[in-house]
Amino acid sequence: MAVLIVGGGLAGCSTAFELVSRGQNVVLVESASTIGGKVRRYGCKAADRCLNCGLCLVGDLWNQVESHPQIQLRTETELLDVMGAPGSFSAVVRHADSLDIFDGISHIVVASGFVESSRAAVGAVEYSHQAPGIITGLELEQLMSERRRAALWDGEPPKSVAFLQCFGSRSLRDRAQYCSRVCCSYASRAARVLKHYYPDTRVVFLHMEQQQVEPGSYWQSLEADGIEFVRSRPVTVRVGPPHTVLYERSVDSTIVEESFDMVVFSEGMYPNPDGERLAEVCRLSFSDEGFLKAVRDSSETGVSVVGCAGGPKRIEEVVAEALQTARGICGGVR
Amino acid sequence: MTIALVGSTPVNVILEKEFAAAQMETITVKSNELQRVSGHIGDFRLQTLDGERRAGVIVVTEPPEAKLPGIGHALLDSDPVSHPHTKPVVLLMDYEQESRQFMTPVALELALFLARRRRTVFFLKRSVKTAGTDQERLYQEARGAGVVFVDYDQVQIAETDQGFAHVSAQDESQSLEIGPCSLIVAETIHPGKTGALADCLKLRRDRWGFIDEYKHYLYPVMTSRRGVYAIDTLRACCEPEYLEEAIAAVIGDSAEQLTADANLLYVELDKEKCAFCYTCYRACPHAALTPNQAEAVMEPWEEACFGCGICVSMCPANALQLTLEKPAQGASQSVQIFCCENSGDTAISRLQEDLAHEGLTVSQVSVTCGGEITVERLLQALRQYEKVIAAVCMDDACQHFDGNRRACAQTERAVSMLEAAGLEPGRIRFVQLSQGMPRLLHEEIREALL
Repeated sequence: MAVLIVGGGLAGCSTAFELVSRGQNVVLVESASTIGGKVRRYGCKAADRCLNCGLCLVGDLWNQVESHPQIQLRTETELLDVMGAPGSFSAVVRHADSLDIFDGISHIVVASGFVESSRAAVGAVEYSHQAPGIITGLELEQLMSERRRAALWDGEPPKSVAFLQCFGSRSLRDRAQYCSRVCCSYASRAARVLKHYYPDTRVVFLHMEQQQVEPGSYWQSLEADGIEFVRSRPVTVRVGPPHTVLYERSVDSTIVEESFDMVVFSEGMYPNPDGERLAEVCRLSFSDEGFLKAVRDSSETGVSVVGCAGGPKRIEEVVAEALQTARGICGGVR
Repeated sequence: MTIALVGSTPVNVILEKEFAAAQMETITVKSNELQRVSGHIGDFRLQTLDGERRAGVIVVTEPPEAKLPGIGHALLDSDPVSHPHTKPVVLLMDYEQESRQFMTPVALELALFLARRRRTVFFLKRSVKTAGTDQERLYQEARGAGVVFVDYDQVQIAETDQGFAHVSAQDESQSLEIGPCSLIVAETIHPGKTGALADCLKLRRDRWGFIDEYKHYLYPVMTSRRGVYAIDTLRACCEPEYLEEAIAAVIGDSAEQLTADANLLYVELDKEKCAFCYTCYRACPHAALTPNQAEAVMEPWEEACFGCGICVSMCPANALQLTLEKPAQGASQSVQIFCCENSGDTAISRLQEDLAHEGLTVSQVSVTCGGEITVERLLQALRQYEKVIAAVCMDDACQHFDGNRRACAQTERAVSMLEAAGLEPGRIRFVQLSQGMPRLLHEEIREALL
């Protein structure tokens, strides 16, 4: 008997590792060529001290999963169909042009993750323009992960940076009315890191709303660090450099034009388009926001949804959910 | 297994039922009655005003304190629901302190309820927190029902000439003046009793004084001490999913921590390799390594060991390693007394009959002078004995210059090491006496044993 995990990102790998450490066998199916998903590209967001970004929880997970004898790892493979009843599923997977069948699957964990509302998805010319100084949240994460002691990147520090929050979220046009939850926390931490490296840089947040990141006066403490917050809705970005951001300031309903050396799009999280196929195969339903949702208690259906496949989540929430799911599968309480 | 619920809240009833369903017995300890906690997961000893209680796991259910912010004495017209009124109702969030995430759905539901009764509702906030499940829908519904959401930068509550409350909210460009019939203000949250409780349980606190639940691994219920969990019962009242998750986490995690094959690591020492260099002794943040002078080796102390492996990484002789096997427990219910032969020794010899009569057994170690008592000897004795007493001469009575004061300093150091390790500091006691004070020693022994 084995547990089939669909998706080798943080949620999938954490669940896999927790399951094998409880003596289960795991088949891990990942459509990309390597495991790790998006979290693998994230960087630590500590400034002069730890800012609790949660990345430490990931640790050496990828190597452990890759080298574990009880995890059967199949990369560049996707799940085509599931047959049978809970407790003894058979899964049909496709690798390149060959089909494979795994029998004796006791439980299926769907961890297909999310996609970021990339520039292309929005369709506006300025977002798809590859200009220096226009980066997405994920690219900012990569900068954080490659930073050195003295500087975040080679070359001149930017004089001003704009964080375009709620980008792709809260938008009827993009069919994403919901809030992606994580952007406030990663962008504000990244802003702190920017300020730590380049104290003279002007950092401006253009946001529609602020979620709670940490209890206490979190946002006030950021303001005390010299980061500016403007409640607004960005209308358009004219590619420079310097890049001009046009935004509608909500306090006086005027259109403001400002130039920035660097513009960061804090992308929201969208449901993975793979989800529709997986929902059909694994008999799952959708939440109001379009993310996957288990129809019933997973002990009845034999299918669980873990991680951002079920909605935007922070790293620590995903790890906790993975742990709890593994406990549930191994006959624990849940 | 027994779970001790520290704090008495209405949520305890639910917790008791849920834990009982998982075959876990619960006892409730009022947080102001808890005096000391010693022991470790599987065997905690809680010293309360009613005596000692034992539990395998401790769950803090004491809620943080919720206070109404100071809004002066302005009068309000009527209660918002029953009285038909043309004046608006104001819900004020983020006043004095940023409101917690879990308060938003409660406030939104209230606003929706009032708006559906055709009341004008103003929802004043700094930022709306709708990231939780289903809160977005509530927010949309409330907007649809006509609740006016206002983001403010500053807000003042004043008193009108008639003595009614008057709210004025400003942002960068505009200001809004409301004369409400009712003003509903979100409470501010303070550590309250949980602060003292955290200190008593030796839990790490965050920079606002709350029990640090943020960094302590995965679950919001975990604390910095193994086997101690904290459930925010204020939040649990507003978020049933949180309570469900918290209960599952406590049950799942404690069961795992208690079984031998879980990730409970202990440090193990190879006596052949140990060079007795004191590196691990200096490095261990939990004071879990103590020197054994007689054999000239260090000895790991499983009760204090967290399995962090710092000592393992630092040992120059590679004598330490982590193991999953739990070493046998040594401590038993008795006491060892270090007696200076000029005072304590004589005093205890006069007590033998009384002690035998009461059935108290003590192990006595005679020392030439209190100066012989060292931290190492005290900690070494704690391996076999539950309590250790150092009985030395009175001040200025030492026949060897200042052995009694040296004993005092060594005891204090040993006690501070116990504190650092999260163990009961009262396990080491210090008493100064003369030959003619057997009663004093008798009391000390009785207190230690009973």
